[in-house]
Amino acid sequence: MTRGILGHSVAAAARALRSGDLTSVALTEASLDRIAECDGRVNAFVHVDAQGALAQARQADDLFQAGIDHGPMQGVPYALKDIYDAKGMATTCHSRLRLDHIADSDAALAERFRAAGAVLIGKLATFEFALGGPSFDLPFPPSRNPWDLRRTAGGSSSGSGAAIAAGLVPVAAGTCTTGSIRGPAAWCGAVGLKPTFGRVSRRGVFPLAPSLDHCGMLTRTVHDAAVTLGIAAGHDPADPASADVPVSDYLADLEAGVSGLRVGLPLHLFEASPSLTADARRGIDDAVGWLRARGAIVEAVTIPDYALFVACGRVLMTAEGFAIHRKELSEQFDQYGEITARRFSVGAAIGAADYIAARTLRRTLAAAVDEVLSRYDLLLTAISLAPAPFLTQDTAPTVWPLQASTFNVSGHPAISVPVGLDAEGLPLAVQLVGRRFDEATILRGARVIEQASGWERMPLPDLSIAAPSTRAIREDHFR
Amino acid sequence: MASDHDAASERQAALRSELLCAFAREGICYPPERLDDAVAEYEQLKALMKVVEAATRAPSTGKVS
Repeated sequence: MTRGILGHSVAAAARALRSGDLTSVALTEASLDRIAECDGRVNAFVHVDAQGALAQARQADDLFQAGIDHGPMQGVPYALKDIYDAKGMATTCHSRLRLDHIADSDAALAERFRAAGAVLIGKLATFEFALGGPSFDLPFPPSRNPWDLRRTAGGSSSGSGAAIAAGLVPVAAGTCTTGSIRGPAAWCGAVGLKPTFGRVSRRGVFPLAPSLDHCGMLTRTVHDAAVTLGIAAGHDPADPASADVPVSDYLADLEAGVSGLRVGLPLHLFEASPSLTADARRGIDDAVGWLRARGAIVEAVTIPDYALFVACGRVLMTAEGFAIHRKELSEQFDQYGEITARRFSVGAAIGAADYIAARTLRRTLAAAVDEVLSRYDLLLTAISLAPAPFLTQDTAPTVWPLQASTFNVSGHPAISVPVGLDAEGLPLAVQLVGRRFDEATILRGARVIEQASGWERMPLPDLSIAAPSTRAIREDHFR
Repeated sequence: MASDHDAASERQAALRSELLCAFAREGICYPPERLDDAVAEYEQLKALMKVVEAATRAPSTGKVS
């Protein structure tokens, strides 16, 4: 289908809301209608607050009528991954353990979006406690990929990726511990921005691994990623990792192009991977060509091997995740889904020496990336090496064909941006990485790729077909 | 072949034992029928811990790969 009102970017909605061509109530109703029509097949939402959303939309319209303008998100619908607190709503973390947990205050990001006049539509599916995997033994079903309902949307910000791709909302907050924003974004054809570690407060967000957790956004366009980061970013003393670093104007140089920028290409990370498809490689080559054609200098660079980042990230995440769930695993083990219980429980066997070794390695890896970025403005690399796997219980996220954890371990800002469709009609994407707190430059590079790829004009996927059963997917896949 | 198989079995038994000790220490009642999957997960994790250990033992030249 064409994008129409449902495909409004934040920028387009903001213009229409201010010109009087659109009201926030109409935009919110369109979003709610689309959810009612499609989400039974996509499973992006675990909770929709239609009444609350319409009340917020009416307030936004009243503000416009009164000439009060809190900025580009005023009156625009968005949704939160269900590990973010929103006052008065359950934060289930997609788990039986948290079905009755009602938040008594907003997470920092929700608080900032509320102050900006954004309209919260509801809560989005995730993997249980942002770990696990696509599971069928949880209180809510796993999200499906709107581009192919037989496939996963990725994770753990699964609902966020699916909601953007299906045109349910223009903005979805996600979180990223080892790639949970850029992975779903890449597989769902969304823009996924993981800011620098410490750029966006994690207050009010249920932690997975505090030394790796990042908050960020999935959007339809790079411009919207810039707009929403401008709202979400800022120092928050209530998050011990929050950085007291000035927030840039992310729109100021968004259209400045890449002429003269030096872009490092760590080919060795992905080119020898047996998972890399010819289409995914073509997507990267296309992005290199687009950047070069617009004046960027693209050169091969070397950073430490991907296997080291994966090892470091998995040890840190499993140890820290276990520490958070230690009490519940001993007292309420049966309440966890099978995959989640397994992935957290093995953390019990990680000793202090192994954890400290991973922390030590992390500093070395991060310094190596810093060194390369002292000579280059950006890195361009792979994110998805192959299409999203089929949605069966045995598709373990630990072996998914993604390369995302590198920059969670190093803490650098990174963005996934679509570059087109593969031969099967599934989204392709690349990843840009920048210096710490220089999100402005990765947004600028991503904007060039977005324009060159023509992704902004890509119609929404056809969701008129019925979602196949998991059994049918399995039978089809293994035939 | 037989000795390879024996070594693999011994390694699996050692991993299972380590994991069961950790579960016992933490009071985790892991369902016995699902334990093989947990051992496989732990085997993967243990391999990653070895990668980390080897990398941090490398001479401190600034180069880690």
